[in-house]
Amino acid sequence: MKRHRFDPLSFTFGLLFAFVALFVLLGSSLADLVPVGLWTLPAMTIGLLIVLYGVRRLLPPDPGPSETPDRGEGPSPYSDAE
Amino acid sequence: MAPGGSAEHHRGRMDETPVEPSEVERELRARVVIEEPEPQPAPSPPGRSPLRRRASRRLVAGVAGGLADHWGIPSLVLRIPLAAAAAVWGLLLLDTFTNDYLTFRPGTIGFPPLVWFGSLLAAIGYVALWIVVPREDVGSSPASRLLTRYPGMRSWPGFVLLGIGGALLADRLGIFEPTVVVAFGMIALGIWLFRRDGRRDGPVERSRTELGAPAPAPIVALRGPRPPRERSPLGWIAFGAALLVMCVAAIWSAGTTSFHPEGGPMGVTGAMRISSIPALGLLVLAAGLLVGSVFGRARWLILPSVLLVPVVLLSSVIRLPLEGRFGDLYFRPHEPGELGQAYHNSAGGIFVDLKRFQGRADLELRLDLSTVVGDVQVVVPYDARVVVTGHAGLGSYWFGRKTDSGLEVSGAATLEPKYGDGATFILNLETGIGRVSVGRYAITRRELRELRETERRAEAAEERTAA
Repeated sequence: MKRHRFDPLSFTFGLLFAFVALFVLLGSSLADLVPVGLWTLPAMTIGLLIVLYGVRRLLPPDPGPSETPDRGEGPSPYSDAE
Repeated sequence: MAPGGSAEHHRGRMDETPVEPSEVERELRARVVIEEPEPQPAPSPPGRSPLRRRASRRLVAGVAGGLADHWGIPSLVLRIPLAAAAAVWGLLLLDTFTNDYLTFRPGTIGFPPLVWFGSLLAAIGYVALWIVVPREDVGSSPASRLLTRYPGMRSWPGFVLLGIGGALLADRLGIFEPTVVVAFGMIALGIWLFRRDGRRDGPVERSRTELGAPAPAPIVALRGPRPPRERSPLGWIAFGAALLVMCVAAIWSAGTTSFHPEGGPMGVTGAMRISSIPALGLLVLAAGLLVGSVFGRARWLILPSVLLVPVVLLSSVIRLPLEGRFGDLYFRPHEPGELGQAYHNSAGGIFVDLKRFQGRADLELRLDLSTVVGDVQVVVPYDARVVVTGHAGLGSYWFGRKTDSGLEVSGAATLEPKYGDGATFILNLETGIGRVSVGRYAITRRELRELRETERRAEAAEERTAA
């Protein structure tokens, strides 16, 4: 598994699911979540997703090895113009 | 052009670094997206101006004025019918919203179907011309501008029409659900946003002019193919690990569960809650996603995780262990010896019918009934005294006039008999998801007559004794 550019979608949903799992594992139940949690959790997820995508656009792309497009063997024809 | 023409041209422009010309040609042909020039409208016949929306002297979008100019008639001839059609639709919408429903009922106001249908056509035609016909001072229509900006939008009208047709068909079949439509709309919007975002994050677009090559036609961009993503085993590893963890947790939970009179809810001791099993699986999937945000790829784990979340949340209200059989349980004891003290079920209802139970006034019976998923119902004789406590994780309880429903509802009640003086039942009822209830058989006329007769005899005996 190679390192790649940060993926906000996987991170946000991973965080959300981890929160739900720990919430239940630590003894709470659905009754403790409603009614506030039912709309705040999805809203927070969407908000975090938007923020992370925005931050990722602001930051320079990470030149990870898997992000380098594989254009086949030999020199790229575009190298002339560069 | 001769095959060698392109090569000569390239050599002339980029002679510093010679490149195989045929390779460049193939690359360009494979990658260049050539936008065809926008078709110019056909020349209008002499004496008739081309169809354009008016930029001035217009009321809404200049469609009626443009049509009038095109046909050479007064614009009022078209504006009056269009205004009438708008009035019809305004009344229909007013009727719809003031009645708090969102279905059009043209018959309610009394318009003939022809008027209603004609106004519908006029409205659709006006909007369509607004979108398709260019304004006289702009030169291009909104539709063409949208297609130029988003070339991939060409297929969207088809999808929209398919969606509207499907909704109308579902409404006709009686299976139309507005919330489902909204949900599908949100999903479609989300997919579109992600596709758009993926295109933006793709490889750097290069215009053909960057290469110094001649531009025989307007070139928008060079859109290279997406780089092949790494086939990551992370998702399957996490998925398999989640299954393993859930199975181990279930086996461990089954081995340690036991009911105990002084335990937790309903006397459960040493038991792992049912919700812990899917929650552990969800935690492993979440860990896979978090790792996949930096290393490997595991986005598809979102789907099984989303499916697991309602299971986790719903099972979190269940405090009972999976113990007992699956299926409904029925009991109809007649004597105290036929009645046990506790019955537990894993899935299915428990129904105890005590109508024929013969108990004296000094008899006190304790009964614990629980099921993970299902109803618990006890029916007592008309002369029984009942002391009941109940709990439903998700559902309701009903003890005489006392009732409640929702999440984690608990209640207690003492039900005194109206007739007679029978045994006392101390009931403890619990369900994870379902309903717990206590009912009382109504006394029959025969039983009431016998009861009155018994009471009369007892009073007579007392009087004789006193005398």
